[in-house]
Parts: sequence; structure tokens; C-alpha cells
Amino acid sequence: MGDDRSDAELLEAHVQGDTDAFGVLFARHRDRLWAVALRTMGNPEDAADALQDGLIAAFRRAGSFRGEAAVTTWLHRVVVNACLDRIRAAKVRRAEALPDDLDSHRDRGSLATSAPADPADRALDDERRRQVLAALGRIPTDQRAALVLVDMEGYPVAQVAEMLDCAVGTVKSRCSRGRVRLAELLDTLAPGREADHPSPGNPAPSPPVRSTHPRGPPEPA
Amino acid sequence: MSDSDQPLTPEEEEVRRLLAEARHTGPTPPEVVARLDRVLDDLAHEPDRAAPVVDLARRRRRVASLLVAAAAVVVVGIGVAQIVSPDAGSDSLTAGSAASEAQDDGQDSVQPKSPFSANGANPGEAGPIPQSAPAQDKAEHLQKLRRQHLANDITVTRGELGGRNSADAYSSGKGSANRAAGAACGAGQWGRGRFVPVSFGGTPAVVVFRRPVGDTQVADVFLCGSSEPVRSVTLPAP
Repeated sequence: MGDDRSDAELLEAHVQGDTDAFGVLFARHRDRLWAVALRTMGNPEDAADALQDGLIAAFRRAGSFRGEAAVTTWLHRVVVNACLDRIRAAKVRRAEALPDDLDSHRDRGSLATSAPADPADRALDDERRRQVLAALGRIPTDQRAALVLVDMEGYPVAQVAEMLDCAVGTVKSRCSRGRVRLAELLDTLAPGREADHPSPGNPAPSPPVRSTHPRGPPEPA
Repeated sequence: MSDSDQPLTPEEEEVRRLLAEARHTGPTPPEVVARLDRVLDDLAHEPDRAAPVVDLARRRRRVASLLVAAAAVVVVGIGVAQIVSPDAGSDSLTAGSAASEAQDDGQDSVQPKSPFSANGANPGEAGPIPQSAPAQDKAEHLQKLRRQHLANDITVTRGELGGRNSADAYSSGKGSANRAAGAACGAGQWGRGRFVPVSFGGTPAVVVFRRPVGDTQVADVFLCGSSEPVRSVTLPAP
């Protein structure tokens, strides 16, 4: 982009009438905001709508930014609020929203783990991720937003509290309750707990194939 | 690493690990970037034009209403044309005449899946006009775009469109297909391009093929009754 101005300088320039400043600012944080919107909304379509809502809101409310938080925190707050508003108002059915970005995920890997080379392992990882995101869509919205920001995006709790406009303790509580709920939902994902997974060790012996009835001509009546 | 006052249980630690693994690390999709850029451009240069995102469910309900109304208008318009000009005179300015022009324009002719050609006939053509074709029936005749295979489906749609790819073909409002799409979907502010009526997720819509630039061509999808694209894809230039 080649613009050396800080976030705060860009926002101020936007407020002063610089027509390009906000675009530079938003593009600078767009990918991370997209990730938050995608994981909060659960599908790319709703995420795009929410991100657009957030873009418009931030553009128009820039004058109300008082510099009490970092600009990026403020942008996240606006976008997360747009997501939450959209979920509440539109009653987005998160349970139906399975992730459909898995294909694109395959070649990118993850920050936490490297992509397994074995296709079978990769498929397993994809399936696990799908289940994690499906479960995430089933927990209350406030808990989901907190977990997306804290556990997924790795933001400090204090910063997330600013983003969500609530107390630090509230963020911790939401995260804690959300994790417990997710642990319940994901129980079958835990190693060795898969319901349909065979027990370790040799399988039980199969029943004999051979007939147990004696061979030969039928007994005379 | 824990932000909690109490140590996490092994199960909660496992959840944290799984969530971290499920983090989205890719860039914003190009079609979303293009959409945001358009909104930003509107905001920056025409602040009054940028409207908040319309809720899709509400939009679909509104579109269904608009389509029913549009169908009624088309039927009434054709009826008036036949009363005023029983021999279907060539100077008529009704929708029928526009559709007749559509027939004459081989380059931009609409495919048989066109919504205005239930039973394969244009509204201006002679023959019985379905008097009460439900809006939903029309959608069923449209080229269907699937959300999960949008780029592929739009590429197929473009292939079926055929015709020329000159700059004139992408001029706003020109071409019979464009006029026909506007008549069927409720003329919207879709910008310049070649318009093709489609069904997007079961909802009547229009895909607008923009003039190719270099090796790429952008196609925007608008739901009927909306001037805001719901999707945008970038295709290799034809």
C-alpha cells in the first residue's frame, strides 16, 4: 500500500476529508476482520454482509472515535457488533452454517499446526475442524464472539473486553462457559472417545464360518 | 497463556487447542474485497448512495413480491399492447416491442431459460400468454447458480450467453437481453455490462458480466429489486 501513516493518522485524515485514508486503513486490517467475521457468523455469505455493515458503520462513525482504544480495537468492536447485530436480528441459523472454506484451508495450513502430508490425516483434520466450527455455531453468540477473539485470534482478554465493550471478568466468564459447552459438544472428538471408534487391541474373534451342524445324510426319522 | 483466573481443565485446554487450529488464516476472498471496495467507493464519493446491507431473508421476501408485481405488469402491458395494436404494430413501445427486438438481435438473444419466455416464447410473441404464472415458476426456468459452485456456474452461464465480447456489448442498457433482463427483474442500477437473468439460491437474480479487463472479467450477481451485488466473482477473460 505504501502509506506510512499510522492507523490513528489515517482515521484522522479520513475525518478531515481524505477520501482515500479510510480505504487504506480498512485494507490494512481487512484480513483479520474477515477472519473474525467468518468465524463469528459461520459462513462466508453472512460474514461478507456483516463485514460490509461494519465497514459502513466505521466509515460513518469515525468522527466518534476518541482515541481511548487502539484503532484496530475499535475496528474490531465495530465489526463484531455488526456480526452480533446481524445474528440477533436476522436469526442466523448457525447450526446450519458449516464451514465451507475447508478447501481453501487445505493449502494454507494453520498457525497452530502444520498441514499433515498424509491425505488421510488431512481429511481427519478437515473433519475435526468442521465439527469444531459446527459446535462453535451452537453456543450462545456472546460466548462465541469471546472465544473467536481470545482462543482463535489470540487477542488478550483486556483488549477483547474493549472490543466487546464489557468487563474483563465478563470476557473470562464467557470464554470459560463457552469452552465447557464446547468440550461437551466435542466430546466425541477427544482421543479415544469416539462413539463409533473401535476399541484398541485385537478385534473380538468372529463367529465360526463352518456350520455347527453335523454333516452327512439326514438322520432317519 | 491462560487468561483465566483458574487453571483450565484438560478438556478446556483441548478446546482451546482445537479452536486455535480452526482459526481462519486465509486472506479475504477477492469477491468480498471487490464488494467492499465498491461500497467504499460509494461511501467516499457518493455518501448518500451507500446503503446498509439489506437482510437477505427480507430481500428475498421483497423480491418475491416485486416479481409477482412485475409479472402482473408484463401481462397487463401485453394485454394493452394487443388492445391498442391488435396487429402488433412495429411502432409499439410496450414490453412486447422490446421483446420483439430481442428476437431480432441475434447477438444478445436470451437463452430459452429466460424468465420471460415461459414455454419458450417471448412475451411479445404471438400465442397464448400464461395469465397467472407464479413468480416461483419463473425462477425454475432460470439458469441456476449454486452458492458453492458460483464461479463454475457463472462460467457456464457466460458460455451459453455466447455472442460478441466487444466494448459495445458491455454498454449500459444496450442489447435486447439487457432490456429484457431489466423488464423481468425490475430495472436496477446494475452498472454497465451484459445482463443475464438467473436463479441464485432459488431467488430470481441477474448476473452482470462486466467488460473484460486484461485477462480477467468480473461478474456481479444482483438479486432482483436490489442494486447491491450479493456476490462478485472474477473469471478468466473469455
